[in-house]
Amino acid sequence: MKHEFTYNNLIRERLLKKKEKISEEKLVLFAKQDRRNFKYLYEAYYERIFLFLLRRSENENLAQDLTQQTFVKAMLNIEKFEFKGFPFSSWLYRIGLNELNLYYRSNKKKRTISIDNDELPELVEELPSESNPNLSNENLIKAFNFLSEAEVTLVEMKYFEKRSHQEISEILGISVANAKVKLHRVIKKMKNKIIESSENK
Amino acid sequence: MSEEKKYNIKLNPKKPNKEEIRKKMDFKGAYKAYSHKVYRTPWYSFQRHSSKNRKVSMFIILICVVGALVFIESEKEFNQKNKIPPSIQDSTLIKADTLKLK
Repeated sequence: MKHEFTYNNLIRERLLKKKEKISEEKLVLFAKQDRRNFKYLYEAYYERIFLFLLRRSENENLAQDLTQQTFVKAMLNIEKFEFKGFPFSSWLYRIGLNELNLYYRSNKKKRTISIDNDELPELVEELPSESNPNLSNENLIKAFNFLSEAEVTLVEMKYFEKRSHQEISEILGISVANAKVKLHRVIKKMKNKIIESSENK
Repeated sequence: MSEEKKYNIKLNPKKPNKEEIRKKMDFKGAYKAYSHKVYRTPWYSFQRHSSKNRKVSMFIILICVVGALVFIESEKEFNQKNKIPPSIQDSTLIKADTLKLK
């Protein structure tokens, strides 16, 4: 017990001095030994998780609460976490997404989607201009209302947050191939909806 | 395309800077919430210590189960031993008329 205590202190000192970079795997191990060591993981990821949740929530206060809940859940369940080739952050993102979905389900509120105008061009490029030359950002945004929450999450991750297929698959717990297929289907669905709407007009 | 709004869409939302986020988030709050949950809920405290004393807790559970089974069995045996036929003990079963006849 005494040995473990001194060992933890040594790690703490090293981390505080930032003289030595300690791998994520080791940090998780230290957090498993003593939850107070979770602080280092918290400090490494709180900003990313907060921004991830802020993009999907109504306001900053809600994002703050959800981020806190995400980290509490992570601390409670860190014993169950095992490295299987995925980074620790993807596990945190997944907990965050689950917390967010739980919030929207229990409060029966509309899910928020945040879009920056700078983020739209990449998505517009995916939709062929030949089929729909008058494709406006407004039409594109309207097309989101025909997607399910899971589909919206995929589009957000790929086109707004610019995540790789690998990262998306890690967060959602699916294979890379599956992530690609799902994204392809979502884009196809959006395309069809936009074409339908232009034909109706 | 229908105008039904399934999602609340925010365009060009304001993003807080690093300092603002840092002010909002602190590990102390999260740790406090964590320890509150851990120490207030027996299930969480059990889960938290389960890795350390899994063998002990399993042994205690096993003893409890075996003890409960032994107790139930002994109760059954005790009841069977003390079971006295009602025909001998219960005087109310003897009919008054038959006594008179004899």
